[in-house]
Amino acid sequence: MFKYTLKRLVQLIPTLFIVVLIVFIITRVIPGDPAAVMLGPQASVEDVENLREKLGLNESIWSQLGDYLKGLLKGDLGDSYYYNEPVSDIIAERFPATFVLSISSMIISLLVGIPIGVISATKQYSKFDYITMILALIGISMPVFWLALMLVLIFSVNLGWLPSVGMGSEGFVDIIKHLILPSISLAVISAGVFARFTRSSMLDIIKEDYIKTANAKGLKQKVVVWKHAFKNALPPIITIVGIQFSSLLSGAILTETIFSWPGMGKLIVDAIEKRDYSLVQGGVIFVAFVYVIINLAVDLSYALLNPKVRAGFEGTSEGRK
Amino acid sequence: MEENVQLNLELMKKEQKANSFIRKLLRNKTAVIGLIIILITIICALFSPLLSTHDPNKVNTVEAFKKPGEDGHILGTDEYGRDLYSRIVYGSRISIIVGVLATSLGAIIGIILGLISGYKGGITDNIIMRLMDGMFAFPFILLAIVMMTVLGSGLQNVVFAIGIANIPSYARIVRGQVLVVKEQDYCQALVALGASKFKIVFNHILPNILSSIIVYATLNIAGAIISEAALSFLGLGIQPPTPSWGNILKSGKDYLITAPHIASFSGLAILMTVLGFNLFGDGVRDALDPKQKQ
Repeated sequence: MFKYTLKRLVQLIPTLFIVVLIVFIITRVIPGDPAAVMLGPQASVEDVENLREKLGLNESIWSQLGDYLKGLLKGDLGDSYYYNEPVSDIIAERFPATFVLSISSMIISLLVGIPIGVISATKQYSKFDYITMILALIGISMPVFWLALMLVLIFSVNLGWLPSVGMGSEGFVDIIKHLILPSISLAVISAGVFARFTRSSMLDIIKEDYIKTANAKGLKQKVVVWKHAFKNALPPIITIVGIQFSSLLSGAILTETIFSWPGMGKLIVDAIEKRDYSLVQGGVIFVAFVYVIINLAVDLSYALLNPKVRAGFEGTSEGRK
Repeated sequence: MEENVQLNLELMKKEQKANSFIRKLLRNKTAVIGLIIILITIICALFSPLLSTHDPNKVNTVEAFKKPGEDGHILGTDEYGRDLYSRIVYGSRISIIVGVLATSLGAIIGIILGLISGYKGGITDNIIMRLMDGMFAFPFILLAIVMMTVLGSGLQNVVFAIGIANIPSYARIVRGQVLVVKEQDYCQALVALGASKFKIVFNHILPNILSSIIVYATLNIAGAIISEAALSFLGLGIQPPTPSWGNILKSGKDYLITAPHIASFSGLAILMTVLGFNLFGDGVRDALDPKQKQ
């Protein structure tokens, strides 16, 4: 497992480097002067030139990249032009909000999606199976930004039950109240994916001989389903959980904009509107890093749960034990 | 003579295979529902001038915020008094164009990269796949957003941004399939017979992996439609007055209390179309790869 972890960590280096390179190329090489765009059409040539100097845009792209990478290694993502603060400080302030939103959405989607998937698999082709799978597909097809608006319309505008803007600051209950609508709208797609995937994974396992044996031995249905079948259906589900966690970050960008949730998504979208390129660049790189690290964690947990993956890599040693 | 007979047999086999695929697809009720939804959207896109009841861009502030069914406006009007039904009908054009073109762009480049990467292996494979890993490291919409920020809004740029962001998924899928197919006996035999690499890859490997690409592409159109709507919703995609479901939804967001019908109907159009492609995509997958049907 150590070797596997090490290998995956080493593979991470070129990926992260390419992430930085892509963001750099997109924001610098494509036609258009970032300084001129940031200052707008009214800016004087002198102002543009001063900003170019301040941002280091007059140096060669390789020298800019080198400086940026050096800074990055020290955790320095440059300074925000709009906020006049280090980008890393702004991110440190905003990321917890996105993390809370993503985690709560993940919990909701797991609590809804997995039991539905398991029950659907055990009752294949029943009414429950058909209805829940259609609902799951509708969930997957849902534009998250539209669902968010509809939830606001129903629960905030019409019923007045829940707040629709901001994160809340008057204690735990207030934060939870503010969290409900954004996390539900973000959770719907993932819940649909989990339900469909868990069902499919469970159906594969239910057909196995050892499940038939467990049933023949007269074990309780609950024990067979949850202890024997579900436990073995879990590794591929964990992979999909990781993938969904990453896509929650995508969804958060849109959800946060609608609910004015003060997280990374809103930060990046606002930075785009304010043409704060340093903040866009830093924010995007940070989100991509988080995305890569989540995927690594998923791969490692998958290897931990599935000895075949480790054996495939370590083949000669652990695989034979 | 013998060659002709063999050729005929091969053609018959291909025809039978296609017929069996269509039969399986048409037997799948949900896939048929999906197909009907897709056809309705395509008809709306093709015949927008005939199907719309008003000029979608005609501003008439006196008629602003009419409710559905009021004064001959089937779905009501928006903040400028423009007919919402007509705008949604015209909006289908953007969704279909972006869905098809962005998917095709991502698929063509991704397939070529995946074929080269999988067949060549070695350092070429490594370079291409590391680049794909790097692109894959971005949340999809974020990559598209960043590109749109730099490129600027507009249909062409939306297609480009979504298409480029789609490349890594195709490259990965194709590469994985090529690695399996190229080790099969018939590929090895072609190598032994001295067939050119180009011929092996494009004439023999590609047709064998096409079914999984088709399945992915069908589902991917749904993703591209949502992405376009998302970009336009954020104000980065198609700009008003050109109607797109995303920018109609964006204006609906600002009038959620006074005119909830604007956001409701435009979002419903996105949901139904995406659902149509997902239902159809699932059906195509089941018909092409029965092993996955569960």
